[in-house]
Amino acid sequence: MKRIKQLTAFLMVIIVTFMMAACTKTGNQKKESGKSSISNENTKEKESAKGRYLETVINMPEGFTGKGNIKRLADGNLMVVDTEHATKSISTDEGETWKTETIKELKSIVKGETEIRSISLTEDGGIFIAYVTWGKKEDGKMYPEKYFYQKPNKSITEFELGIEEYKTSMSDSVFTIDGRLFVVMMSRNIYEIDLEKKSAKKIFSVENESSLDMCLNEDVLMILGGKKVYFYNLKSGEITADDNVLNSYIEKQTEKTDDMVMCAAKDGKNKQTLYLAGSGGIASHVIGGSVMEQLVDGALTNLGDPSRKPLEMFQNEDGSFFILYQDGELDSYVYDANASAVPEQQLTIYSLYDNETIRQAISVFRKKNSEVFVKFEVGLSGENGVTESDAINNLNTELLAGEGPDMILLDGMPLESYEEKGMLVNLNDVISDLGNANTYFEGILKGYQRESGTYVLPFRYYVPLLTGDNDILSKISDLKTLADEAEKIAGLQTTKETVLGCYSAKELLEKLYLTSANLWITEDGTVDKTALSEFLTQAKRIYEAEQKNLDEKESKAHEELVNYYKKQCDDENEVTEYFLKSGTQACQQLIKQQILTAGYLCSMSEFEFVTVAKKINRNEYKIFNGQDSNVFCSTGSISISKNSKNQESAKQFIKILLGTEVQGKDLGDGFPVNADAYKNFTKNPAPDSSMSVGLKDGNGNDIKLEMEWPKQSEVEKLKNIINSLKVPAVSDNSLKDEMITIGAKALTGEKGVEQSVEEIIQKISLHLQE
Amino acid sequence: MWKKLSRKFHSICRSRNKSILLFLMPSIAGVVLFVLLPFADVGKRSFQTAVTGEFCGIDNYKVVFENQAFLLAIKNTLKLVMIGLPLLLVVSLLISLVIYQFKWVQGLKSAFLFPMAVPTATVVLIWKMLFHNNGLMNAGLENIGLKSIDWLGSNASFWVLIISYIWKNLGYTIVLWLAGLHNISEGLKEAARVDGASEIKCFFYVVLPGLKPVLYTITILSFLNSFKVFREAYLVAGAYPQQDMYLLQHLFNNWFTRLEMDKIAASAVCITIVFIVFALFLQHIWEEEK
Repeated sequence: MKRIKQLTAFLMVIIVTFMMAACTKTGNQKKESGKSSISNENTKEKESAKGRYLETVINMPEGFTGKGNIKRLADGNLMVVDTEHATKSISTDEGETWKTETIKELKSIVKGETEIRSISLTEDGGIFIAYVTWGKKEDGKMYPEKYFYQKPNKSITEFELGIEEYKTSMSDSVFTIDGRLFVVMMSRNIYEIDLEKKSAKKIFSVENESSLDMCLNEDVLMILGGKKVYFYNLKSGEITADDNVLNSYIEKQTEKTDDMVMCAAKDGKNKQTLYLAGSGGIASHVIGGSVMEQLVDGALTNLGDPSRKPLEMFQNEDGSFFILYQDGELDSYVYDANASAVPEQQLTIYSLYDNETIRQAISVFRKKNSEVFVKFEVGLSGENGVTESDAINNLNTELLAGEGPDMILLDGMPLESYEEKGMLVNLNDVISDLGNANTYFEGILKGYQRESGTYVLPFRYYVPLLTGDNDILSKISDLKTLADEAEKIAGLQTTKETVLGCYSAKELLEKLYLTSANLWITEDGTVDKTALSEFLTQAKRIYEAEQKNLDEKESKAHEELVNYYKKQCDDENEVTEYFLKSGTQACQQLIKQQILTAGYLCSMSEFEFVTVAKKINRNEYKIFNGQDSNVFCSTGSISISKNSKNQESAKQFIKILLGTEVQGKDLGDGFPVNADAYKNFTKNPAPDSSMSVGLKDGNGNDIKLEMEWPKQSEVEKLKNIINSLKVPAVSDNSLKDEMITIGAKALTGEKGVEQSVEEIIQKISLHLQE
Repeated sequence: MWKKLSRKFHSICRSRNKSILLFLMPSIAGVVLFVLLPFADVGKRSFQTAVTGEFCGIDNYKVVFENQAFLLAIKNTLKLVMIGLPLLLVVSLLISLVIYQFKWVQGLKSAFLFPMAVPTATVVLIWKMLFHNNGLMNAGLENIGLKSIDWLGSNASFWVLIISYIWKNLGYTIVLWLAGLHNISEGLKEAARVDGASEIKCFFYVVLPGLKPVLYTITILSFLNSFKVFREAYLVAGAYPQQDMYLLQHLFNNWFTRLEMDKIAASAVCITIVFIVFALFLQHIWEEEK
């Protein structure tokens, strides 16, 4: 027995030694041939999968900026109507050359404050346009919509229909082959318009008003009404049953964006097929069939770019597609059986959350590097019940195995651990290359710089902003002075509203956290008890000032509003963020719900609200400093993994991400780091259109807000504020959750400040000690 | 030494024990491949930096033993073992002795395993209902005129762990004790009684010594099961619970999120050594008794 035991032990030692040696050898081999093995894998993949729709830009008439429409005519020519320049262009050679002529009658319409609501073209060259001229005041007409119709023989008809007594406007229109015109209104009603009799006949209604698009195939009119497609038989006048497979696909695709276009045709087997193009790519579906077939991957085309919206789509005789984008670019999608299914080289970007700017950068990078496929992996897609910690652990497993993504977005990640452990590549050379090409907001670009190097580069951020009366603002420089002023304001007899619009202790702490939290942890990793105690003391003063003029009715109304938003949004954090935004708070300020706003500016449209509020209330804005000063809240920060075998390509990607093309577009997810791109970023995207917003104050009175794009002086002032930002806000959410949960008790008086501080320290110390 | 081992190996290979060895080989290979080999890698990593894999001597061990969170987790885990384990063994033994008297109850043996069959997620829901500030436990305390307790936010949280551990393992341990009791010869007990031994003396001098072989198995299994209480603790109170509830697995989990593979490896080696020493100690006592 004893012998057997000893023998077993001996055998185990032998096996362990043998297998460890074998493992070590494999590891070394892998290390030596790392780069080639990756490319070999890709090559194998490529060899096994061939065939892809290739995207090519088609030449368009000169000066066409996307305002208009395109149609394949019955004779096979392409026709483009440009409503901005009132021209009609015909191409007989698939866009190589265009013959353009001016439509004089249209020219007189499109000048001034005319907004083209819808344009549709007939296969024989007829043009139908619905438009609204906003400048002329016409009593009782919410939408003074008029119609322009140029017959193929070029005779013009202009008329009005007064559909639904001018209370609605056209969203889309489509002609049948035999010249019948169908339109969908914003009221979700579908009409057939008789151009001869100049009359409109309501056919039916759709349920959802978002994303209204129409297309026709033989006798079936298809209407994309938000989350589903309606099929209306033109002959029988009946709506056919729902296509559940198609509808569930649309529902999933429109979660992110409503921008989707469609066209229909008969496929090779003479079956009615619907083609849909959206951010996910192009998909086909045999009507009534049980599958959706993905033809084009959005990530490999312009469709995946959130800044590009498809306007019109049609299929050509050879099965290829033409898609017209909102910026006027026409792209063809032609199937190439010899092209690899995905480009040879692959770059992977990992992020816990989806990121619009990254998607846009992928699209720009793809155009410049067609041989590289950039895969964007989102850890928390919301589809698989994975928690933040699960997603990070999964990523860490890959990283520790020497694999994993090439680039990592570090928002919500243990940034400091990755830096300390040497997981990230030093990006100092990228910074110097960037500096040679453009100017940057240095404080932000180098916000994460360490003595050993820069491992993280922010590419989008929010700007903390304080707005209110100039006299008050001039006295506020930090959290203490904010508390002083809050107490003063709340103590005034004239004050009836809240000071900062915070109805609960947690809301207030959310607002104050980011600009103060940096000071609570000392360099040696311990909690600064004095700073934390001071924070809660000042926050308590502000909370008491907030509560002073707050009655139960207001609190209840606010709670109802928050609950309403929570029902609308899947993610509760979105609701919290919504109330932290400067734009939202500016509206609250305008309806006399709060005196000051302390929030975060995330886009130019937010800034538009701030400047409009400034004009109306004659107030000012300045950087919002808490205990700490000049803090920016990064909403996108990128790094390169040391495991990456494609570090050079990854650096190229980062340069594009921080280049003027990507940085110059405002996607609502933060401001640019590239100072040269700031000019484009702050440019009015629709200088010709005007917008007004309706608000309701606490007494139920309607307030109409005429929106006005921020003036150059405001844009410059904001630039100066951005220039002063240099301290990244803390990104550790677990710290924040503990602070807010326990700190709220101190504010409401449930616990003493010192007791809460001790409790927070006890909780946080576990984080820090680890 | 190699020659000696080699001679022994060859002698066994030549002997009739060769067939035994063949039967053992698959399981030995499995243990080597899935336990010993990965652990050897952990041992190697404990002397290296986390990501770059550079040799760092015993730095990781120094860091781990200076780490306050590690020491707290060790303290709590030991406290759980020192209090929970004896409590479980004594309570389960007492219950099994009572049950042993009633043959019909023993027919319900499988029901004792019910707590082990309940999914952790369900147990956690029950714990939340019980130990919430406005939960059933506090309602009960208030009903009898006592002050309610913040079970998950105060030192009382440690007792939540103990209750959870005992509830989950009690039935299983009872079944094991019952198996041990069945192995004790009724004749022996009868003879002791005939010699005038009281029931208490009979328990201490006949039953308890008879249970010693099973005690070793039960102790080892209960010791290992004490580490499984983490699942409930994690799901009830999250990654950063009240300090008295903070166990080694919390620490390992959080370290992994921060890529602290070096610290995990060093502490895993230390803990394994403690485990082995504990198991050998128990085995030694057992063999001495034999």
